[in-house]
Amino acid sequence: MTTAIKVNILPLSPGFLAFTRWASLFLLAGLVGCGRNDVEVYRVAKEPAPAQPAVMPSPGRPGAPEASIMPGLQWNLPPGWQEVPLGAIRVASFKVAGSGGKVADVSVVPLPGQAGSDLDNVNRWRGQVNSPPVTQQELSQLAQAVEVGGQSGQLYEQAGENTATGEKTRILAAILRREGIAWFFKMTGDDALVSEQKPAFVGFLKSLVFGAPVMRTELPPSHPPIDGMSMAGPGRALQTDGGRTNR
Amino acid sequence: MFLDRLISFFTSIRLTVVCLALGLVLVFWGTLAQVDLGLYKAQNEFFRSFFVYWAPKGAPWKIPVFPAGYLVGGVLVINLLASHYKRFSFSRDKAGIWMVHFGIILLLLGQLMTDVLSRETTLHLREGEAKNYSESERETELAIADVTDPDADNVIAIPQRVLMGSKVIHRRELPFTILVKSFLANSQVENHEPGATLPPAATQDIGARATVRGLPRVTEMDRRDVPSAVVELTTPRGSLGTWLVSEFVDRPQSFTLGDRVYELALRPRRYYTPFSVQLLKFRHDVYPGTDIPKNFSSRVLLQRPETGEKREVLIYMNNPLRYAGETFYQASFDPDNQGTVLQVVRNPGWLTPYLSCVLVGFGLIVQFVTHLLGFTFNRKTA
Repeated sequence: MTTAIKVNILPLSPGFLAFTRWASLFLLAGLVGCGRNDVEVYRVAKEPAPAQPAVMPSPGRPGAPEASIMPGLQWNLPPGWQEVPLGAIRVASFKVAGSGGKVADVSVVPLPGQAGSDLDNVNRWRGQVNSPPVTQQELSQLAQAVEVGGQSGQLYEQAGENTATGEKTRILAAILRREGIAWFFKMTGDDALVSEQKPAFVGFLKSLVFGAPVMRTELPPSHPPIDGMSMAGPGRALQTDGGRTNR
Repeated sequence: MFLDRLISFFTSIRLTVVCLALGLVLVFWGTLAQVDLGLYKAQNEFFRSFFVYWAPKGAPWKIPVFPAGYLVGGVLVINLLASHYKRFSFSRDKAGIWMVHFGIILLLLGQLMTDVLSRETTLHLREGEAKNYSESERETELAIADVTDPDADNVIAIPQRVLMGSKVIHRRELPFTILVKSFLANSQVENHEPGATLPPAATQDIGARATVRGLPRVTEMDRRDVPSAVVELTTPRGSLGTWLVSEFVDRPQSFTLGDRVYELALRPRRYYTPFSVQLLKFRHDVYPGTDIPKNFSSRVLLQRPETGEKREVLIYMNNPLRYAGETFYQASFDPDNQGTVLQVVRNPGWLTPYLSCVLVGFGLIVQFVTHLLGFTFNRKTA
C-alpha cells in the first residue's frame, strides 16, 4: 500500500496562491496594454540635411529592398514632341502640343519591383478619367501587345471625362517589366490629340534602347537616408544628456 | 448554483480534450489557409483573434464560424489553472503531473507573451552606412523634430495608432497643437496636375502640389499599406496651415515658428538602440559559373559608445548576431549587392518554449519513475 504524502510546498493559503496566479495574468495583460503606443520624446544627433521634399507616386513599398540604381534610356524623339524638365521620378518627360491649345503629357517612370499589379495601375488610371474599374478578366481583353525597346509590353488605353474640367481625356499607358524594374510609359491629355498621337507613341516605345545603369539622384519612397561613412561612430548614438524618455 | 456550474465547466477534463482537439483542427486549417491568405493574414485570422470569421464575397457582414487561437488558448489556460486550483493538491506522486501541467501553462503564456511583446523590424544599410535604429515594416509614426539646434534634434514620435485614434494631439514640448484632419491607413499620393479631379491635399509645402486618396487596406505578405495623413497645426494665435504627411513624401517638410525650425515626416516607426551597426561589406557569393546563390553575408561593425565596445561581426544565413536582446538575421539585400537588409527580432519570451519542453519532459520522467518505483516497491512488500 502506498500513502500519498501531502506536502505544502509554500506556507501560503490557497487563496493567496490563486491571487498571485490571477495577478500575474493581469500583469501580463498590463504589459499588453502599455509600451506599444506611447508617444516618444527623445534627442538624436543630426541626420544629414535633407534636400527639397518630392512627391514620389508609387503603388506602395514592396517587401524587397529597392534599387537605388536605374537603367539609362535612349529614344528617337517623334516629330512635334518637346522634351521638358524632369519631375520627381521621371527619367523622361515630353510635351506634345496639338491644335487649339490642346496638350498632352508624356512621362517615363521606372519603379523598382513589381510596383503594383497591372490591374491596380489600370484601375488607378481609369479613376483619373472617371471610368469604372475593370476586373482581371476584362483587363486581359483591354491589354494590347506592344513592342517596347525590343521587348513585349502591354498597352492600355483609357478614355473618359476629367471630372474637374469635364474635358474629354485619354490616357495611353504601357507597362514593361524587365530586370526587376517596372517601367511605366504614359501619355495623358486631350482625347482627340492623344488618339492622333497613338502611332507616334507606339513608335516612340519601339525606338527605346535600354542602356547601362546610371545612378539615380532621387531616393525611392520610404527609403532610409543614405549618407555613407559620416554616420559612423559615437556621434550617431543617442545622446545621453537630455536622454531618451518614454512619457 | 450558476457559479458551481461555471466552475465545474471550467474545471472539466472534457473541456481540456475539446480545446486540444479544436487546437489541432485550427493548426491544420490555419496552415492550409496560408496557401490562399499568405502567412501574415492567416496568422491574424486564425491565431491572433478570438474567432475565425466567414463572409460571403463582397458582403459587409461576417459571422464567426470557429474559435480562433486566442479563444482556444485562453480557455485552455483558464481550464488548466482552474482545475489545478480545484482538484490537485501537491503530493509526491503527483509532482510529475504538476510539472507537466505547469510546463503547458508556461508554453501557452509564453506564446501569448511572444505574440504581444515580440517585435520584428528591419535594418537597411548601404555599405559604409551606420544606424542606431531599426524600422518597422508595417507601422509608421509622425515624427516632429525641432531641428534648430545645430548638433541634435529633439524628436516627438507619435505612433500611427495614436494618430488614427486622436483628433487633437497636444504635447507640452510643442508650442502648437496637432489636429489630425484625416488619416488614411492606405493611400495613393500623386502630383497635383492641372485638371486633376482631386483638390490639393493640404495648404502647405508638398501638400499644396499633391493629391491624396484612400485605398483599400492590403493584407498580403508582399505588399503593405502606405499611410498618409493631413494634419493642421494650430497655435493660440491661429492656424499655421495644413500639411500632407505620407510615406510617399520621402523627406521631412520643414517650417519655422518663432525662432525654432521644425520638421514633419510620416516615416516607418523607428526603434532606437544604444549601439550602432555599420555595414562594412556585403557579400553575395554564387557557385562558380552559375547564378545560384551560395552565400549571403554582411560584415558589420558593432559600436556601443557608453561601454566603448567596438567589434566586427559576420552575419550570414543561419548565423545571426545576438546582441542586447535583439537578434539580427540576414534577410535580404539590394539588387546592386552594395546594401543589406537585416531582420531585427526582439523576443523577450524566446526562452519559454525551451523551459516548457524541459519541464514537460522532466515531469513525464518523474511521473513514470515515481510510478515504477511505487510498483516495484509494492511487489517486494506484497
